[in-house]
Amino acid sequence: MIRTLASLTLALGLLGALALPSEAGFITKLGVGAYSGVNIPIVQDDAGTGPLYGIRGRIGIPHMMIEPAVTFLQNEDQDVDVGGSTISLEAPEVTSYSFSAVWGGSYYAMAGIGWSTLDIPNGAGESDEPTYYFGGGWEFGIGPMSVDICPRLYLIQTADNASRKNIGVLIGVNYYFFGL
Amino acid sequence: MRNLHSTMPLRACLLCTFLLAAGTGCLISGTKVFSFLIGDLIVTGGGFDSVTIDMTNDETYNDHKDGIGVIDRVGFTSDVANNSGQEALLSVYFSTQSGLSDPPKQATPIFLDVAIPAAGRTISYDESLDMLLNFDQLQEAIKGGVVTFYATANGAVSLTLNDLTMIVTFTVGL
Repeated sequence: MIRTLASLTLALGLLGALALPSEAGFITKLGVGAYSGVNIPIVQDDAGTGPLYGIRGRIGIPHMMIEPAVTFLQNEDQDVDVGGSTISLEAPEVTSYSFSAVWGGSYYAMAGIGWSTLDIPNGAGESDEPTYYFGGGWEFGIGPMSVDICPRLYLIQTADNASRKNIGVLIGVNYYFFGL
Repeated sequence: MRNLHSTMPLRACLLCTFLLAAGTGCLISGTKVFSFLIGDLIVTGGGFDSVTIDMTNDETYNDHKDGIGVIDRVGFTSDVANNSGQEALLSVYFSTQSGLSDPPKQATPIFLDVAIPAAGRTISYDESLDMLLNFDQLQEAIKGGVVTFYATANGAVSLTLNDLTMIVTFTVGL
């Protein structure tokens, strides 16, 4: 996980360093950001509400913005009653790599597709399947930086064509090299 | 007017999200857990006992049996009494066929040579997850709904598996 974060941070940093405003042309905006928030599973008996966090880039092109990101979704373990005794179910974890399209200004809509690794400990194990993202958000700038609040629906496809759905509420900070 | 325009993408997205969620059934589907009491198995050394379960008798399973996509986890609990007063080794097998004459050769093992002390032992859910074998085959058997469990033990021992219970976590399809 640390290696993934480091690689993505380095890639986004290099992109920011190389893309100067005068050379931007097609690129109208360029930034990087980090976010954290709450991950709320929808109807998942083995997963409780947990944290999520991630990092992203923001690349503005005419009419929209592209957002590459890596997100780590965690859940709290859940207790279930079995014949009068309680057992604890270890919650699944998700690492998701995504590309989203963002439309709008301060208020925006977004939709994206990604690739997620879902790990079910002591069970089905890891599966790698597509994930779909939908949501909206509100971003307001403070100098070259902005604060971003974004609720999202994650449709995480799992093995055998099943799926898990989560709602994420993200609060993030972005830094724009230019274009904000 | 300006505010209305600026919130239109957000409104459109929220509407699309709701329609998509409703369309894919995600408001009613998800990941479910149910426990199924298999019952008691009485095992004597050299012989075996068996029990066949029909999971359609469980409401949760029955409600979703046609939509099960993946079996996420299968665990077991049981309080094993050792009636012989000497250490024993317990093995449990499963098959979609009942009435097998030689389970160790004809059925699929899920627990092999589990040590049962003279005083007996409790098999917890977490222990069962660590010991469980052939998860992939067990997944398919559970999707079928009817499974027969066979238990055997070594030597001249007598064991009773009290309240053998299976706990299944599954996720329904898209």
